[in-house]
This record gives sequence, C-alpha cells and structure tokens, in this order.
Amino acid sequence: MPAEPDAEVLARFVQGEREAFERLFREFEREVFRWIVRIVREPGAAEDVLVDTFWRAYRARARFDPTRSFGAWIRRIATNAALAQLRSMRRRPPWSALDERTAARASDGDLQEAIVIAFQSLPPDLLAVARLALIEQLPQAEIADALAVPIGTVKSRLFRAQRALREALRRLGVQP
Amino acid sequence: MTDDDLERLLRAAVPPVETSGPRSDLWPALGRRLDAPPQWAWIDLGLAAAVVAALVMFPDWVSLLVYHF
Repeated sequence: MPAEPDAEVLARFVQGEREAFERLFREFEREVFRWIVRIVREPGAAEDVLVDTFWRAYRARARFDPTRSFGAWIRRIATNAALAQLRSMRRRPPWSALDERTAARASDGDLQEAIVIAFQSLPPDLLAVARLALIEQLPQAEIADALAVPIGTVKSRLFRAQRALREALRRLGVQP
Repeated sequence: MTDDDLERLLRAAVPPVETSGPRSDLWPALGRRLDAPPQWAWIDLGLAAAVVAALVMFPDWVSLLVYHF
C-alpha cells in the first residue's frame, strides 16, 4: 500500500470533500485494484469492485478514524466488496451439485482441469482465503487483517478449503 | 497426495494473476455513482408496505402514531 496520506487530506475526506477523496482514490486505486484482482481474478469484475469499494468508503467516511491507517481500512472494505462480488458472480454450482457431465469431463481430462473445477467450486469465504494464502502465498496475518478476523479463523478456513478441495476432487473422480 | 503436493498442483493450475492496474480511469464512474440518487432497498419498500397495510387494517393506530410524533 502507498504511504499514509496527510492527516489534513484524511480530515477533509472525513468531512466529505470530494477533492480530498479524489486524491485518496488516485493514490490508492492501483494497490486496491491489485488486491481485488487477487481475490476475484477477473480484471473486468475487479474494476466494478474497485468502484464499489471507494463508493462504500465515501459513504462510510464518518466512521473512519483519521488516526488509524487509511490503507488498512480501504483494504478491509475492498475485501468485503470482493467477497460480495464472489458471491454474486458464482456461476458454477457448489461442489455438492457438480453434475455427472462435469465429473466425467474432469476425470477424462487432465488433473489440472479437475483442480481448476474443484477449486472454483469452493464456497466464496473459503475460496478467497485459499486464493490469498495458497495461490498468492500471502502471510496469514496479512489475510486476517484484510478480513478483520483473528488469524485462527484464517487457519481454520484454509484447513476447511483444503478439505473441501480434496472432497470436490474425489467427486470428480480424482484421488487426491 | 500431501498438502504440499496439492498446493503445488493448485499453483500450477491456477497461477497468480499479473496486473498493473485498471484499464481505464474509473474516477468518472465513481463520481456518477456518488451523484446517483439513493435507491430504495427491498427491505425499506417491504417495511413501508407493511406499515401502510397495518394502518389500513387498524386505523386506530394512526392516532397512536400522531400522539408519539
């Protein structure tokens, strides 16, 4: 995340000054966008989430404490917005409903395809943690901070994600 | 297959996404969203409809409401 903005800019943002808000947007948009892409993995969808994130931040500006980190605050908002996007863009059925055709295709195809199908079928909360921890290899403390949950919750979601992934692979005819 | 094997296969199948930033300037889109009039949520509409229905069914409640406001 970029360096923390001036206290004066943050104070003006809290008061609702659009110019100060644009300055914050320009400073943080790239980093926030990269963070969102790590979770949703589709740049087009990530752009929508980026707009949603800063819209939510502007609406919640009165609750922002200017003595705290703006970067950490906006990242938490971005994480929540990205999770909402994951829930709404979920096109594939949950692993319990993987149909026989999908299973046959995965078991006939290579292991990678089965892994992609199984991974994408994880519930959004587990998928987000798995993407950040296993694919992006981010520290669990950083993920916990972005999700505003204890590190134990991240560990537990990661464990459940791995278990669900194995279960989904089994259903696809792959012995993990 | 160990957890490490599974992670290795996962990273090979789903590599990290490389991106530098949004493809276009999103500030105008954000400005339009900020300037858009607030939209009614379904729950707000449902509550309003419930209040109207309650007042139609129990007109005496109007005087109670007037008393409190």
